[in-house]
Amino acid sequence: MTKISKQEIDHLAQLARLELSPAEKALYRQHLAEILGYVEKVQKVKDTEKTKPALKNVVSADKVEESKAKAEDLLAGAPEKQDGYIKVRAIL
Amino acid sequence: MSSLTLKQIIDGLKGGSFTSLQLTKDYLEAADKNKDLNSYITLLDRLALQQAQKSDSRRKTGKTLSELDGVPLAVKDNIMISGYRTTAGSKILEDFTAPYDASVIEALKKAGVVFLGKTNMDEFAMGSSTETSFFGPTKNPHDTERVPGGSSGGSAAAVASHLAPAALGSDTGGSIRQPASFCGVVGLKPTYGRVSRYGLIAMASSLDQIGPFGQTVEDTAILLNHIVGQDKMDSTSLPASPVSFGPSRLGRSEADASQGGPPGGPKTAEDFTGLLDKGVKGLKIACLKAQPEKDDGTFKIFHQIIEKLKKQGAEVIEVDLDKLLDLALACYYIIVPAEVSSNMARYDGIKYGYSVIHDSKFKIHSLLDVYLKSRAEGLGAEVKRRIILGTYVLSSGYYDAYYKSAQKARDWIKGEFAKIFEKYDVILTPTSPTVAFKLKEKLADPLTMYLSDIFTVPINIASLPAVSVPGGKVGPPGGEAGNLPVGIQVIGRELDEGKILQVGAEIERVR
Repeated sequence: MTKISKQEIDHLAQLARLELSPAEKALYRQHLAEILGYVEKVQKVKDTEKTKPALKNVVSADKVEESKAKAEDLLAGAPEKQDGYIKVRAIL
Repeated sequence: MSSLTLKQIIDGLKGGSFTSLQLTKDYLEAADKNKDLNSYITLLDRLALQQAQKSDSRRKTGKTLSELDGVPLAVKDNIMISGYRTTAGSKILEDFTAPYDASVIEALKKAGVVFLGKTNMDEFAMGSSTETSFFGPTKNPHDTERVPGGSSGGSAAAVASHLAPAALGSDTGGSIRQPASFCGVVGLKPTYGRVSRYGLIAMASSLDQIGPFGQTVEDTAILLNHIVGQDKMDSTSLPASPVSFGPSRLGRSEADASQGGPPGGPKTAEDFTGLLDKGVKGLKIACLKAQPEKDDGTFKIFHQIIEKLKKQGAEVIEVDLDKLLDLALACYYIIVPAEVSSNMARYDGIKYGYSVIHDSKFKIHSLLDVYLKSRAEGLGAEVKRRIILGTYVLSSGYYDAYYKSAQKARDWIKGEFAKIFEKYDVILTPTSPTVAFKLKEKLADPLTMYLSDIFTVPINIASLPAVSVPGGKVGPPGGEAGNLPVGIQVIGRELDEGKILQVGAEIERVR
């Protein structure tokens, strides 16, 4: 069974930009171990010949088009904004 | 009036038996009276009445937009209707106003559809019971102590209790089919790419698909006709014309088949109601070989339906799907959290949605604080669990062992399905291994909750279409006789929605 250490859960929460309470961390350590224990059977699948390529690139023409959404509507939900920009705290 | 099917409503509006306004008022009133079920998050009273009035005036002057003009529908609350709140069942979007229409909504508006309201769902569609909704659980109309299934539980419950004649949902691993099964209605998950997902709030992008709920197979086929088609706003959407099966099987001309066009355009290439009366004579059906240790009556009904289909001339052979299903579920619970962890990154307390910035409860010192605390406060337990799990399977050192292995498994699963479809037209399974479970029964145990999706999840992994059709009802142990619906799942080849609806319609006739 895969074990998830306390340090690992701290690191994952940090990577995911998600603050977790000590209770949540304990619960998710347990759940992750259980779920990973269940899903690790996928590792037994050997390489298969692909029936057909699953992915292809879809590109659109490099052409300016009218957007379906207006900029002011898209910005309307931002908690802090100024002069048509979204404002964030200084990071330096 | 409100127990009418979509087809009856179309005919009634056409024949002048009632107006769209009368109909819309009836449904809104019924929805208001049945608030206890909690099937709607938001009722769109004003919009709906306005749309209904406009539709009635169009009809008076003989200028209806389509057969659906004036028909009321419910919409799952992860599909955006411009100018109205869209929550995806989450606190983080509690006050979010949709800035544009989803492409399906645009298509249905052009068809003259009336939108009754936005239905309840598991938070960001993550769940199988509608219990993870920030707005509280929806109750199953057949037994209010039980779940309606999920994640589109609100849409399924609304249709089952006649609070809407039909509805839209989304399905990533069974989120249309399983609630349809639990609530005793028809739910269709189209082939991946059939319906544009532009304006659908993303959960797991390689699996998500929009589809219809209806009271009958015909109703879902009618609704599907109006939402399929390629959309330049969704690069994964497919052309309207069928690729894997030729137009001759539907008796259409080549000229018809070559017409593509935008979703809901004047003429889509295919009429999904075309095969509904063809029966199952001569069809080759693969059915799940299963003898579960415990059966609540689901498998009994499943086998009864099989026998009835055989009597109608179908050739039914049992196929062992155990390894395929088991592996697909494992594969699903790697791919989904991985894609979830990436898709959920957009909820950051900066661009839109809940933010701690203006919440006096929090002391914010840095940009990082805004991210950490807005997400902690705005997202629920299942979403957080999947973000953490997804971050784990994508992180360096584990990526190959989990995510890459899951992609390999996905190829293998697709190949196995393809092999089955070389010999058979459709595959039948129960939609869910059990009938609707009790509220809170599985909420604390995620793995058990995940296992309830064993028959539906593999279909999304393989990008196939499948429909859940009511097959009968069973009673809970010691409870009321025969009030809990059992759904039968019909799985088809890619783009072969016509065939699964054909078999579904026969199940409806013989059950």
